[in-house]
Amino acid sequence: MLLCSFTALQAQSLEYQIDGMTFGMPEARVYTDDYDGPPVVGDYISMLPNLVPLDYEGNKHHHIRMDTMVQEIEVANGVRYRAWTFGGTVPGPVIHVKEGDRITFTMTNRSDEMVTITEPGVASSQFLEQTAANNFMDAQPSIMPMPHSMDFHSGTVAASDKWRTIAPGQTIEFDFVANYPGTYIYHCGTPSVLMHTAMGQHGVMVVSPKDGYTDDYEVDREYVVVQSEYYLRPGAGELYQYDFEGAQNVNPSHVVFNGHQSILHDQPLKANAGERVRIHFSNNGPSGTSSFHIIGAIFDRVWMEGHPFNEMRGMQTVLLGASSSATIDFIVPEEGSYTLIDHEFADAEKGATGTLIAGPRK
Amino acid sequence: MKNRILHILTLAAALLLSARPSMAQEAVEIPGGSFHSILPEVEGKPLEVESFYMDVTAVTNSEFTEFLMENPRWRRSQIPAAFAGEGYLRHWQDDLTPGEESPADAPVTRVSWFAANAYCGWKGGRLPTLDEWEYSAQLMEFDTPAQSNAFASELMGWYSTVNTDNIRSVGSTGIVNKYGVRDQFGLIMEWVEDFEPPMGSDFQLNCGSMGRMQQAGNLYSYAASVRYMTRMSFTPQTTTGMIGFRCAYDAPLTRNLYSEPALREVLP
Amino acid sequence: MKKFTILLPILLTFLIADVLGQQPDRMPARAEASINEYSVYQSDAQWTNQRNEIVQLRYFIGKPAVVTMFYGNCLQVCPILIRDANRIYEAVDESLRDQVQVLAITFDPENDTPEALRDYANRYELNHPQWHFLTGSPAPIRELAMLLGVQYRKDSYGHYSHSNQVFVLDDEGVIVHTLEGLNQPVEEAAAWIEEHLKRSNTHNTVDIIGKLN
Repeated sequence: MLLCSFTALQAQSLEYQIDGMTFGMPEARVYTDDYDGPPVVGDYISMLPNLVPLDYEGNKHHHIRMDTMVQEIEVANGVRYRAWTFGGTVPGPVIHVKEGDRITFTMTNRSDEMVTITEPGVASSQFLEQTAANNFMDAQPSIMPMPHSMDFHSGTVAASDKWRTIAPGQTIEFDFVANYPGTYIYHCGTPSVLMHTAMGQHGVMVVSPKDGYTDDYEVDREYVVVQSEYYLRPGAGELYQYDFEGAQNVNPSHVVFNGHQSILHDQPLKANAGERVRIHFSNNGPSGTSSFHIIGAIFDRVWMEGHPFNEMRGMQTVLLGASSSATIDFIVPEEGSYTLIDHEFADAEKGATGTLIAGPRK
Repeated sequence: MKNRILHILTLAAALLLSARPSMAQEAVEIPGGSFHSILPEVEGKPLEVESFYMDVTAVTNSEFTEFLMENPRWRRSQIPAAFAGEGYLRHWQDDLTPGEESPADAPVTRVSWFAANAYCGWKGGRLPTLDEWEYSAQLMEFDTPAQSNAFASELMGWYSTVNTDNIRSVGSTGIVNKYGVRDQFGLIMEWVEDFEPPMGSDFQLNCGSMGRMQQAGNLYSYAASVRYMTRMSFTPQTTTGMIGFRCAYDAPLTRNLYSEPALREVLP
Repeated sequence: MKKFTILLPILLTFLIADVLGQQPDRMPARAEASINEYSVYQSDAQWTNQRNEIVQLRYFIGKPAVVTMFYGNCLQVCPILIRDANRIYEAVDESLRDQVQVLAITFDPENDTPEALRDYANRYELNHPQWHFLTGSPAPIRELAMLLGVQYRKDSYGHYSHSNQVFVLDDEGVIVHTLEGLNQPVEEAAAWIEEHLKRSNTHNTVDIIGKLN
């Protein structure tokens, strides 16, 4: 039951189309209810570096829930802090949709609630099954009530309506259409936006192009890798805490792939020699740039922002600003191990590296 | 010898601290003055605040229990939905028992604005206005801008580490303004009478407003911006583990602006 | 109308009990039980209208109400808010209009005395029996504003900056319609009131479940 609903900020927009894209979504709803179900719900949502394949023809209307809550997590060996998260991990879950799909998104601000992500029990999303099976961040629920919001870069809507801040206990629900293909970050837009994103509130949505990237070949493997920075310093107890000055001066304590300093070494990406691997790579910032390179490989094709029209070939390094992405295909040359790296070496030495292990050619 | 003096000093401090419960009742006068609000009436112009009294510490669990004993309608089981969300005092053991997780001398939290407003009325006071609270909060003495900035930096750290499972006693932060008001930072966030002031239509809670609310790169105003915006995002029904309150009183104390005459006629 | 004559004696009983009790926070529990928990008429505080009549908000239970907040020294925006409230009122069919209450609550109890409110009502020719220009103590005024979602703040010149809303409340005091901003169309609000009055005049009973939706 809805306990209180909030009044209209603006008249409801009328839906319209330009160049086959859909604009004009109904007004967001903000309400209070007593939802205590699974915090991540949806069919095509996974934990990094996985991407759930799209198994449907044409377009689909997705109903996605991703709550925001606090989890104490490990981000490097011996470094734990109480993160502000979407869905319970940093970065948040990977959402996969197709260009033109409609999304009805629901988010409850559960920052004043203990929400467990490691014992799903409910088949609400692959994401929760994966976090339960592979809890590498050793996530423990925690409480730190703060206002939060959701800003999907894959959405084309009035931010003043859909990306509104909600208080602890409130729920926001809105629609949008993923008009443009590509890999788009999502993040909390509540001030201080630097603090909220640095505290962990970001993730990616992969919007696959309706006609694919290329007809020239099929890829053998598809992964998602997200780069981001942490600004942490030792706190009063055993936990680390937000380093405000470090964040303001863009001096991160850790720069990481997929939220943890060593996860892509501990759990490397896998492929075989001769395979084509596709990586949807996003630099979620909040403030740094990334010069993404794979040692021993050349990027065969790169689609900047993941849009199939933005094709480049033969790139050694892809330079990405904060909240930029690229979809990268490369051929794994031979059996062995390959290092994924931010070629800005200051970042690399703070953790922005990972491993791809290649088996023999099959 | 040195150790012995230290020991005596520690003992004296402990005695002083143990005398604190009576202080929880006290209010002190905050003489009128002006301050640079991050929401000024006129850009760059300080806001004037008249003299008022404010509680030295936040309202504690035991004080709030007294209020509930006398005012049943504000108990968890009876409060109407219009006055508080589901989480109202949900960490308490029952209607009138804060329970082990909520020590008697820790500030009461998970109270809605309405309950805070009613409590202060019952006490013969009112909630401090946003400007009064912020004016009092910045009445701290720092020797150098560097010290002030270091404090503001700590404050930002605190906003990122609030631990609602372990809220300490009122008076325990050691943060005190020059008139003796304690813990305006470092313990909880506090309701103020007008926590959500009207904003011009051009002003929204977004990342741009952070910059606009700050003055000349002052770190204190940066932390204040986070505080203002967090507070402004609440609804008056919001109850979270980090919101409590303290009361204010008009100067001189117990002045009643609008006395209620006897009932003369019955409506409708 | 029938429903109201049934409610009136009940209300009177509560009221007398309140007066005898003298202490607003020691109201008999049954009085509270009679109020919808989403109603904005929760407060025990006393208010005074432009006819110098003392009233508690729960007296308005039983009829729909048009509600706005304003202050008398506000010469530009507030007259429009009052006019908007009146536009809803006048858009209700004349045969039903006497069952509509209009409440205009001041932000400024210091200046808006009952006398000042009477002059204000007379100036705009709105001193009708079912119109209540209300003043009260600062804390209940703020509380009512919070229940309605009205924001206001006094400035150093004694003026108030405030949000502009006109509300329609059902006969339990639950908000059913909000006009955000000035000069908004009133047809929908008036139509809700008419339909509601026609329905409740036929049925006699208060359909609480229907109202929560």
